[in-house]
Amino acid sequence: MSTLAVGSTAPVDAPSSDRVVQAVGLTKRFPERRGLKATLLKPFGQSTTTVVSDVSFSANAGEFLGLLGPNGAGKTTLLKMLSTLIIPDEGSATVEGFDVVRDAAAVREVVAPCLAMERSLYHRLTARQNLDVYADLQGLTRAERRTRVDDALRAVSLQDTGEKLVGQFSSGMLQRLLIARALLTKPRLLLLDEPTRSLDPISAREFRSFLREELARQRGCAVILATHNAEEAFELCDRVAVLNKGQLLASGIASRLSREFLGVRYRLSTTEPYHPAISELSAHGVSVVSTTPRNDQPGDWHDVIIRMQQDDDPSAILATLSAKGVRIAAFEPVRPSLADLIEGVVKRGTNA
Amino acid sequence: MSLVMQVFGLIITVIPLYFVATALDPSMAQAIEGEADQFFSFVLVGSVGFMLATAALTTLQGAVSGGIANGYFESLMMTRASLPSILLGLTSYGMVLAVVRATVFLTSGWVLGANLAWSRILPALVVMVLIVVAHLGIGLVAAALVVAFRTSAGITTLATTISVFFGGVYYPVSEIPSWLAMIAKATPISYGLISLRRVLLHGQSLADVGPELSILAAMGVFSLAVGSIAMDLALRYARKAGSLGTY
Repeated sequence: MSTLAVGSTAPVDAPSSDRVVQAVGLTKRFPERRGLKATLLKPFGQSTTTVVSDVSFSANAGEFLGLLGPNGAGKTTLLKMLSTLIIPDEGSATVEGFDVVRDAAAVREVVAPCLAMERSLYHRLTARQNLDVYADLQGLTRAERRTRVDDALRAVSLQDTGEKLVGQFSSGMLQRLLIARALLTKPRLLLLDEPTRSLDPISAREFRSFLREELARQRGCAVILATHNAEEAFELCDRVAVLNKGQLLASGIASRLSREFLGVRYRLSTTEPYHPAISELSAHGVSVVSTTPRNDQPGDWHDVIIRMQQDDDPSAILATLSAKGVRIAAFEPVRPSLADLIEGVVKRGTNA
Repeated sequence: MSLVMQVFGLIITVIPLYFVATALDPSMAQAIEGEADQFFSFVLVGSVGFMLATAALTTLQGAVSGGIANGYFESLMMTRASLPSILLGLTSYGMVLAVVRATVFLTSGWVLGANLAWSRILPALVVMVLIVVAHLGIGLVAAALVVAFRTSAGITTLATTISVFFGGVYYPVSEIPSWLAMIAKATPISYGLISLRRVLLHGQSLADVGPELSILAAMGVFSLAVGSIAMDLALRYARKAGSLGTY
C-alpha cells in the first residue's frame, strides 16, 4: 500500500469506529486512447495509465477528509469510484458497509456526489424545477420534496432565486445549485469536487460554515472533498490526504503535515531584510524562504519569511535578532500556501 | 414554436402524398387488396407505423448521446432511480412527440379522404404500442453502443433502411421478390403494418391479426431482452473505462 509513503503525522485511517467510508488498496487504470493505425498494428497491445494506485483511507461520520494534489493526481477518479461511476480494477471500498461494486444501488442511497457538472443542470428550467426533477429521481415523496428543496436552496443562499431560469445563472450560482442538488437526499457521505471554486468569498465562507455546523456536526455526514483551497484544507478538513500521480503520499492534519514537510514559518517585518544577523540564523538551522518588499507601508519595509525547525523557540530567535539591532515591526507565524504543502510532499515523495 | 412548425410541416407533407398515392391507386389496387382499399390509406398507415418505429429506434440513442455530451447522463446514473426508469424518462419526450406527429399525420390523411375505421382506434393503438416495443429493443442496443463506444455503428440507419425497403411501408411485402422475402420476414415492422392496416383500414379485431401480433410481440420480447443485456454490459464497460461522462 502506498499510504504514508514518505511519513506523516497521523494515520490514514480514521481513528474512531463510526466509520462511513473504508477504502483498501483502490487501484484504477485507464486504457490509453489510440488511433486507428496503432489499433490495427497492435490490436491487443493496448497500454494503460494508472490513475489511482493502491490507495487506502477511511472517513468517519461527521469528519472532513480533504484530497489534495496537483491536476491528474487521481482525486476525481477516487471520488467517482466512491460514487459508483467508475469500477476499481483492484482493491475495494465500502460506504456505510456497502461495497461500491457489488452493492452499487445501496451505495447510491447514501452517497451524494457533487462533481463538476454544471452542464448537467437543465438550463431551461428554474433552479427549483431542477431540484424537483432530481428530488423525483431520488425517490423523495411530494411532501418531502417541498421541504428538502427549500432547505437545499436556503443552504446555498439561493432561496431568493429559486424561480429564476438556470440559464441566467452565473457560474457561482450554478455551482451552488449543484451543491443544493447533492444535499437533497440527506446523505451519509458527501463527495465534493472543488466545491467553492466558483463561489465568492462570502458565499464560500457561509457554505463552509454550513458544511461544518449543519452537515457534519448535526447530521453526522462524512465529507470527502477534493480541493485546491488552503482555507478548506487547513480550517475545514480534519485530515487531508496528498496524492500525486495516483499515489497517496501522505495524510494527516494539514497543519501538522505542513510543519512536518515545510517546517515552521514566521514572517518578519523589517527595514533591514539583508541584515547579517538574519543570514547568520542559518547556523541555527533557520533558513530564509522569501524576501518581499511591502508596498503598503512607507519606508523600506520588507517581509522576510523564515523557516525554522519544529522544536526551535521563536522567542529566542526574535530576541537574538533584536539584540543584534535588527529593526522588527512584526514577527508572527504564517501558514504556508497549499501549493507549498503539496509541492513539499510531492518533492519528498519523489526523492524518497 | 418548433413543435407548431413540425406539425405544420407534417400537414403539408400529407398533401403531395395524397396526390401521388391517388395517381398510383389504379395500378396498386390489386397488390394491396388484402390490406387496404385505397393506396393513399395504405401509404398513410405505413408512414405512421414507420414514424413510430423510427422514433423507437432513434430516440433513446439520441437522448443518451446528448446526455453524455451535456454531462447529465452521468449525473442521472448517480441517482437512486432505476435504470429502466432513467431510460424511460430519456425516451418519453421523443416518443410523445412521435405519437403527436403520428396523430397529426393520420388525422390530416383522414381529412383528405383516407378510409380509416375510427371505431378500431383502440386495437390499433395496441398494435402501435407493439410496433414501438419491437423497435425499442434495437434502439436500446444502439444506445448501448453509444454508451460503450460513442457510436451506434449505423445500427439505427441499417434498421430504418431495412424497414423502409422490406417492411411494407410504401408497397406491400408481397411485391418483394421471393429471394428477398426472408428479410421481410425478419423485419418487425412488416408484421406490425400488416396488422395495423387490417385493423385500422379493414376494421378487423386483434384476434383476427393474432398470428402477426404474436410474432411481433415475440420479436419485441427478444429485442428488449437483447437490448437490456447490451445496455447492462455497456454501462459496466463504461464504468470500467471511466467513460460514462466523457464524450
